[in-house]
Amino acid sequence: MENKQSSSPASFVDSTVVPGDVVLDLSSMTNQTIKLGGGLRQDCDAISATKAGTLRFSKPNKYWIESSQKRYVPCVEDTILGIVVDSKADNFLIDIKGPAMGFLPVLAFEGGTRRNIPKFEVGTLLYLRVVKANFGMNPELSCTDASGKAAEFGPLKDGYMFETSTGLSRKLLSSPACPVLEALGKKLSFEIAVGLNGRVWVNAASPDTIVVVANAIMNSECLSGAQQIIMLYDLMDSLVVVLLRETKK
Amino acid sequence: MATTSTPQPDSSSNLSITVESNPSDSRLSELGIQSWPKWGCPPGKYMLKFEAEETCYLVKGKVKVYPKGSSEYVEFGAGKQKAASDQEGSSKQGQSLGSIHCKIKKMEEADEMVTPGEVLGKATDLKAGKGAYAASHNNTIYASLTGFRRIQAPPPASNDKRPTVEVTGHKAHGPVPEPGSVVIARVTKVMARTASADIMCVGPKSVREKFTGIIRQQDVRATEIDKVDMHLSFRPGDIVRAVVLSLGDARAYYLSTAKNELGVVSAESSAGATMVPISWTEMQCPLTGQIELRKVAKVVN
Repeated sequence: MENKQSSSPASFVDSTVVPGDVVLDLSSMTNQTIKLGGGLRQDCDAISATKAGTLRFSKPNKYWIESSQKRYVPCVEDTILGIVVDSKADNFLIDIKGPAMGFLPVLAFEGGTRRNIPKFEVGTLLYLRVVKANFGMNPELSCTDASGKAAEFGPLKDGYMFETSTGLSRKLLSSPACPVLEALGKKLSFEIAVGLNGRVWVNAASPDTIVVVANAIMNSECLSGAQQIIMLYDLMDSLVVVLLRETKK
Repeated sequence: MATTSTPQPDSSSNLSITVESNPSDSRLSELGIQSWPKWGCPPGKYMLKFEAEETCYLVKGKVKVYPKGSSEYVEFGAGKQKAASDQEGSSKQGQSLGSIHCKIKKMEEADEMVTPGEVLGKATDLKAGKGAYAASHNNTIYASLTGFRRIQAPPPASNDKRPTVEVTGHKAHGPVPEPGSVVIARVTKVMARTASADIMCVGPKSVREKFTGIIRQQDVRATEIDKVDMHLSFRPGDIVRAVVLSLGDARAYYLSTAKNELGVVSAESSAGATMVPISWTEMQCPLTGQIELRKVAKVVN
């Protein structure tokens, strides 16, 4: 028992916690301001986890719990892929794989005025930014960056969209680049948009390339870096065979 | 010409019809005939059911009244009063010969249940009180609520000698928000430019039915109304004191918190404790010390 009590809070960092675990004890950390991210909750002097996942720490004082799930919880300044579900007088209703529909104001486009409101059909895929995400309210989205420029936001044409977990989306967007994407980029040319809400869009010149990229990404969910490369070479072998057949025609 | 007869019913109910013929004018004004509601019908046979003692004054025409099951009848013509008393509420058949006009007055007037639209009397005889209104085109007083019809004597010191008729007593008659009244409401939903709230009390009384109110972005406070962030003013579950601006649209009243003494009165923090107000924009949780932003009402002792 004594051994357990003498363990410092740092030992929880980067290890798996489940809801209810007390991960930090504030009485032993005086004169510090710490910032609590998602999945952590304060009960007087104890910080406990409310989500199952890995506790992460970033200098100087940020703690949060990282976990990967299918459902997305909207966060301000996230870039996501949304699908238009309905359009009302002031907003488009967008499905963002979250607990509530997102509202995209009709004027939230570069140079958007009442006269040139874009017309999106139901089912259009959009690359968006989350502006406001308060608990209990529908999140507000935008097709411009913070300064009002278009910056690649907006509808995505052609291509193929598939769904992943939120953890995989974060890995794909991390820097340095994820091994899968790096290796794919060396051999194939394609365009990709990753949404933090677990949606990925791929576009390429030929459907074969699109399928290979999509399968590679979906397979790399639980694989480590080296395993990903091996998996990729297997996939690409089959692609090479197909391409050779095509060129022989 | 007319006789008084009391046919004995064959059923166990006590049924009696008494006819008073040619009542004098003083008798008529004593009964207050002018204020009785009037109804009429063309010739024919009608089933009438009387729940309580009823007096009927026949203005025009002739009526034969048969208690149900009996072949005896009472016949009377115009200028007659018929008092029918009935303990069990059995029905009687009446045959009218020629069209009749008849004024009905209930003996136990305090328990007469009326529904909206029923005639309560003439504006020349009565004043419209709570739950009643006077239609100007035909000078009649109609009921506007469901309830019991009560007549109150006129106050002795006024010039107007008409009694006041009012409709009261139905259990749904809780207080109703009126423009200008201060209400206590619980916020149910906060959206980008409005917040919905369920009105719980009007003044000091709690309401009996559900009323919904909306607080619009421009009515949250008096200054800088276009920079209001609804999420930083209210959260779902907050208790607010607001004033009713108007009846609003079909769905909700319009409420306003644009005064110092209006706004969030009580709120719960995300940790679950009731927060303490520390300024007109901030409330603090006593358990965690976190400060949350609200539009706080200034409580004046």
